[in-house]
Amino acid sequence: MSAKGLSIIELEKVYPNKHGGKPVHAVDHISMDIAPGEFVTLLGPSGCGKTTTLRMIAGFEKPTGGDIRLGDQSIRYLSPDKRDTAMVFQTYALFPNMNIYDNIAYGLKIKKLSSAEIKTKVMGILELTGLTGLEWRHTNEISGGQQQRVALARALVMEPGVLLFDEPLSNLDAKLRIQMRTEIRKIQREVGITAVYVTHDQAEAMSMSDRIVILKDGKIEQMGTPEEVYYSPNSEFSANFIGTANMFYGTVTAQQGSRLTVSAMGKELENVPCYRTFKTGEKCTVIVRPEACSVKENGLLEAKVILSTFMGSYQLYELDIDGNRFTVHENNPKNKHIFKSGEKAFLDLDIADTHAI
Amino acid sequence: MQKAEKTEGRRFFQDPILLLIIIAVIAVLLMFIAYPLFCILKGSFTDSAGKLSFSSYTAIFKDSGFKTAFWNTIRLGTVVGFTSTVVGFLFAYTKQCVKSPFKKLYGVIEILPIISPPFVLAFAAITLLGRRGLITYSLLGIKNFNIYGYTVLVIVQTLVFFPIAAMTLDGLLENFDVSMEEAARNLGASRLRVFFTVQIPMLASGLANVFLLSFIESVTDFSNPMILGGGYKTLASQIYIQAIGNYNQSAGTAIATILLLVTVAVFVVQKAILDKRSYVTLTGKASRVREMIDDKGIMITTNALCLLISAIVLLFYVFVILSSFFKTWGANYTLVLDNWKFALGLSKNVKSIFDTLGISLLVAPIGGVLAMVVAFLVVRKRFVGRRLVEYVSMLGMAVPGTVFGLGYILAYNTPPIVLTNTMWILVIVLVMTRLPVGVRSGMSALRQIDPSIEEAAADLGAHSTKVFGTVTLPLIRPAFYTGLVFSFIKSMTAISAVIFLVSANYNLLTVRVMQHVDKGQFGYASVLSTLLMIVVFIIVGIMNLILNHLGRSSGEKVDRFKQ
Repeated sequence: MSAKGLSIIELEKVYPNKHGGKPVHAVDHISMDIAPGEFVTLLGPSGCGKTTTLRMIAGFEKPTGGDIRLGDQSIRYLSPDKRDTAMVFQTYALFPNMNIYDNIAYGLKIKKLSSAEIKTKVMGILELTGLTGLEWRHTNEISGGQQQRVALARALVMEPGVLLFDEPLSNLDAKLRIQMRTEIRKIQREVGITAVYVTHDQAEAMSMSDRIVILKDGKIEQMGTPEEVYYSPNSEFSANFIGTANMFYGTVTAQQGSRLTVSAMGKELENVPCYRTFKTGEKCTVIVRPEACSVKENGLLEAKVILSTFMGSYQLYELDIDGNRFTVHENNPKNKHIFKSGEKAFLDLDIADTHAI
Repeated sequence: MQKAEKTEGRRFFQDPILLLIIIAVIAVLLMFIAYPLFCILKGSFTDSAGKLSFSSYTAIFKDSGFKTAFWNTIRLGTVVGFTSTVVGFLFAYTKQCVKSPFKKLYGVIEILPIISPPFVLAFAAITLLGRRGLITYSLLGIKNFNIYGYTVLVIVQTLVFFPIAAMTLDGLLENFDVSMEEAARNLGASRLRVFFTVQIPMLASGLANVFLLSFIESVTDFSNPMILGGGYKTLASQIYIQAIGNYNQSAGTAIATILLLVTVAVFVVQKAILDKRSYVTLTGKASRVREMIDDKGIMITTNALCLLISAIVLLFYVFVILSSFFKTWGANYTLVLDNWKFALGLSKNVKSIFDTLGISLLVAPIGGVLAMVVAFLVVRKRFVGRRLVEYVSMLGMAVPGTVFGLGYILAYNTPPIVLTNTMWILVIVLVMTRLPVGVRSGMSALRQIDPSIEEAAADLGAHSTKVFGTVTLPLIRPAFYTGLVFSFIKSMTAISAVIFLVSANYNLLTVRVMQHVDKGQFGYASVLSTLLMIVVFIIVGIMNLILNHLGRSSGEKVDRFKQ
């Protein structure tokens, strides 16, 4: 496999505003380096520029600035057919006038491989993607999940420098989606190909990626491993976009290295982890995940239970603390005391599970 | 299943108005579509004594003129079907896929032949390229240039029929999923390769459909072969010449039956192609906005070809208008108002203007409501005879106008019902020939509306007619309005069926134009053609203004429902 590294350098895409207003920065000076064999996910809400970025890599959109390098070559000015990229489309874009075999062989025929070679490759990829036996079917004679696999196989068989995914699972039902994301990740690891994956589904991003790039308004909000972006989001946006986050606002009273003392909700919280230097008196936001909190008879902060819902694997609480809303996931609630809505209780948490931004 | 049918049946008797409407619709369709066609069949299979006989057929099969006309028709239809598809595709592709500053112009060129009488281009061809044509005689000095015949007929029919092909293909290309092309490009295919391995194969059924539509248009065309055919005779015009010109009813009906067989057969094939699930609709809608091709070579080639064709069409139209002002065609090109004074001085012409306008203004609402009622019954109701209603109302699509016209004469010239020489026969034939288009657009509009909206109204206590009037009709209002405007235009410009049915009492503008052309009075013909186009233009403009005003709010609502 010829996995290549991909570098995006100050990439920019500006659309003129149709209504005569300011031009729109769909992608605003994005830079990132993707190592050969790495699986990187571009994650963000609609309109954040993730698809535009992907389409610029494939060559369907022309950048207004910056550069894209695949391996050691700039591909910015190459037409899509000259680029060593292969894409899995959201709608799969299977050619309905061809059967499965011809769909997968399409790119290989253009490469002018011998028909024996094409056959070996297609059969190999069919086996890898679990499609053996379906090669003579038509595209409308297979299920949605199988169409998805054909789209993947058609891209993979090209052995591209980088494999591009444009929200490929969004047309599948929930169960199949979970199954396919595991499978895509498995296959990507097996062949060791570089992959850029676009999605707005955080669960997909978390479960598949080596690295996640969170985009907002055409800019990179945060970039890091799933653990990094989950445990140490660097903004309220990132914290909210991946998982659920509780936030409370306070003032920094002291800093010792990577630990803060924060005055919040009438308490002095000591040893709050942080990743930058704060000034004394500076406002800060303390973030904690719902599963790091628990509801007890005694604890850190007094609270009123607004809502208590049994969710199976956890008990979901909504708490009101001094006018702030808190969400708590109390795991494995079977043998725990369950508070009812309207009751008084205490929120308990380990300060080490929080961090300040 | 059977139980459900039964309750359905019982529900009908609880809803007598609906029952009455269904019976009325079936009666109207049988009387004015099925019965005239039956009369033609009957006429062709009986001899002069009224006995069953094949003598009409043996007579025309012996006639070498008929054989020539038959093969002429097929040849013309095939060639024009092909050329119209190619030119139509060129226009549609340029409009939908290529960067071009002239898209508005192409849109206008596509509309022109639809809002003007079908013979305008033929007539312009004679004034420009005929024996005394401006280009052939006055500019090039060619004496006795023979314009009449196959070649010019192909050119003119192509110019008249390619816009319909272009519009159909416009819709197909618009819904073509761009990611198909992107996927192929992404896999290394060049633009040309994508065109031939992905786009063309995926559009194949659409192109075949357009070819067959154009074929039907060409073989049913009456006025162009009449004006330009010369020695090149075709079936549609032969029906008229035999039945009206030579008073030979038996030959007329036999030729009509054979032409009908041809068009119905093609129509059935066309419907079969459409019913096969088309590739383009497979994914539902285009996933993203198409980026226009800005490759210089492609841009210049496609635009140059489209501009050339547009220029020819425009030249023809300009000369129809101009020639109404020339003093003497072929000799004196001074611009004067003589033709206008003479043409409008004839009381026959003046009356025909008002007759045409009045009849068209009657046809539009009658045809519009009938089409929507039929569409509603076919899509939403289950009743005995539903299929019959659907097929008979669609049959008009495959029936050539001349066949209709002849059928009406045979059916309604003698008691018990005599309608010839009345205004109503013209109104009815125009309503029936335009019905299929209205029914089809009504059906597709209805299919986009969730039936549960109507069910909700019924659930709240509205009976069938109330549901139709308060919920269904307001929701399909845009389709209804488009149908109104369209059937008005088509009534104003119709010629092939009505030429059989005009009388001393009621004459139509298009027929007057043909009569002037027949006598070589091109100046008068162009006056009336120009006038006709102006009237259509003005009335359509007024209709659009009113309908925009009425229809905006509800149109938006329907758009929202579709999403």
